[in-house]
Amino acid sequence: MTLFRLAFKNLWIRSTRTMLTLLGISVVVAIFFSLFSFGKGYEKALEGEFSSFGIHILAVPKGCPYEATSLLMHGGNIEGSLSMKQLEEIRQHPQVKIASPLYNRHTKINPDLNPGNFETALYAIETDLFDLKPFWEFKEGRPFESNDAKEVILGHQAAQAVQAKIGDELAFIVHKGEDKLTIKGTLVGILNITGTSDDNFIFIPFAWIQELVEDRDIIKAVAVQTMQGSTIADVSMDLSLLRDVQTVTFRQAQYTLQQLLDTTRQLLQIALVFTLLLGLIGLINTMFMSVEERKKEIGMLKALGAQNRQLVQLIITETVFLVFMGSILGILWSVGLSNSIEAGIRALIESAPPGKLSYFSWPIAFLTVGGAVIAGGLSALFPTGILLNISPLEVIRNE
Amino acid sequence: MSNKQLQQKKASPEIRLENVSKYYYRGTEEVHAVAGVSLRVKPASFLCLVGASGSGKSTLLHMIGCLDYPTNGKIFIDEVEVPNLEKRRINLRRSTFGYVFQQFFLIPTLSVEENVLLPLSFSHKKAKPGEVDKILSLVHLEHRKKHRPSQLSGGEMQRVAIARALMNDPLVLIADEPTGNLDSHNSEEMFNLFLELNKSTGKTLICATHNMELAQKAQQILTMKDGKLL
Repeated sequence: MTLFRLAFKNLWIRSTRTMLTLLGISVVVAIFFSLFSFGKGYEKALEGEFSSFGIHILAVPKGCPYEATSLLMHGGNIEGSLSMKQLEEIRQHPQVKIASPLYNRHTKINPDLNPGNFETALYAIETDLFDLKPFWEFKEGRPFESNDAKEVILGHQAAQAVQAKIGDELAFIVHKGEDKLTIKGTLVGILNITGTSDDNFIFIPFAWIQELVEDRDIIKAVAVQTMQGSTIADVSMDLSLLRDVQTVTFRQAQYTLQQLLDTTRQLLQIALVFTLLLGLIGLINTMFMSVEERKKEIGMLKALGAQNRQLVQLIITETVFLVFMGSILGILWSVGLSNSIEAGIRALIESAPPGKLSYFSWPIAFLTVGGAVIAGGLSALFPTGILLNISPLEVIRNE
Repeated sequence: MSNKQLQQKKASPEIRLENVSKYYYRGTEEVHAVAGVSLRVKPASFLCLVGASGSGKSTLLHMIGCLDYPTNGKIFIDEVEVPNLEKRRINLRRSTFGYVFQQFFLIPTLSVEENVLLPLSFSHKKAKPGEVDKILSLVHLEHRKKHRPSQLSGGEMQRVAIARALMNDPLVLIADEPTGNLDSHNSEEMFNLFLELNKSTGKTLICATHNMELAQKAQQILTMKDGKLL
């Protein structure tokens, strides 16, 4: 008969309380672990998305360039616009190798002409954008023949949603003022999975859409690649001097978005500290109750020769076991529910990068369990004050 | 004599009380639970303290068993005064005694065998092979080894408590109203068991009871009234 066995039997006999305490600990640990896992995963996804770009600078209309960048990358609509004149000025910079205009707007497949009811972002691009996106590979088909061809390229997931094959005629609805306009083009290419938001988009030649919609001579952004050997920051500075043009380098955008994420994470961490405190208070309360209602038993154990040190060990064993099991359960919760949590995050953060946002890290898992066990062990010391003052005689007399 | 020496000692000790008193306060009123008691308990004897409820027999028993401290007076074990030990040492000293109470204080989650083995966990000892069976056979419970306290009768539970008290091989067995929760048949059996243990093991037995009939079985009977020995 060991003290450990006695500790486990004590937990077993109070199974309802043990289960509730385990559940409480596991929820706190799951929140804690999820926050760290998602923070790390988000950082990696963001880095992956930015590092695959051949675009060095994005020129956008005046406003918040970081917000514009994030919106543009994820299919959102940005305020303001640039003109063809500004595009030409950018192209004339001696250190600019490629300057490719971008135009995007919301669209949906015409349900009368195509199966499904797919809504997404329609991107009007020029063929030189293929050079700025070296990670684009064609699963089937080819790039546009020209910048004014009536041709369509689909991202991998968009192609799956539309269920179209190369050569099919696709019809999309776009708004022209108050009117709805249906545009038709031939599907000439389907992209492989890129792991970016591009997988969901529809691409058409830039000149074609300029003819069709009211936004003639309107560009949402210009993607720029600089000459080899030039300093990106210097070119960015030069371009930002153009009238009504703001520039952002992709490194800056990545850094800023990461900073935004870190700020959010810091706010969440403050909330987390309170959650942890509540969890600890709950745990201390449980252990207090456990000691209080076992005063007779503890007094008797003292009469049998149990030393205070051994009884403290008993309480700490129970607490540490509870916290350890609760932490493991919490991490399993977090991993098991990561897909649902990820969906929730995507619903809340429109510009969340594609790919897996949750990142399981063994070091974080070990640190979480270790930290919880240490905190639990320390919290178990609080009720031991009662335990040390229990006199066997007091218990016997009360009988 | 150190705790270790006392624990290693095999023969029962002589216990001597010299003018021992115990006072406590109930509000502002001073209550004399035990007032100037002097007595001598011979080694390997069977002593019964009798008296009405509130006469001070339990308080006296608790002080002999190091569960309580005298306000005045001295207690000697084998002519060595029991010092006012710090709490940790008192716990160790207690392991040289075996206690049996009116309430059995068995741990409900543990089996009979585990309850009996419990004192060894605290003294970091291991039971020798067959030791539990031997002790359970002393109290005629070898067939109930795997049962839980809830599956036993009151008499059986008290016998488990006695077996547990014997497990540490105490020099003195202290029993405070051990038959208080038992019927007459079981009470009779319990005292017969005490007699048997006293004879077979040579352990000193000090028992507090208000049952005069049962107390007649002991070698020495001391009657208490208002905290004093008559």
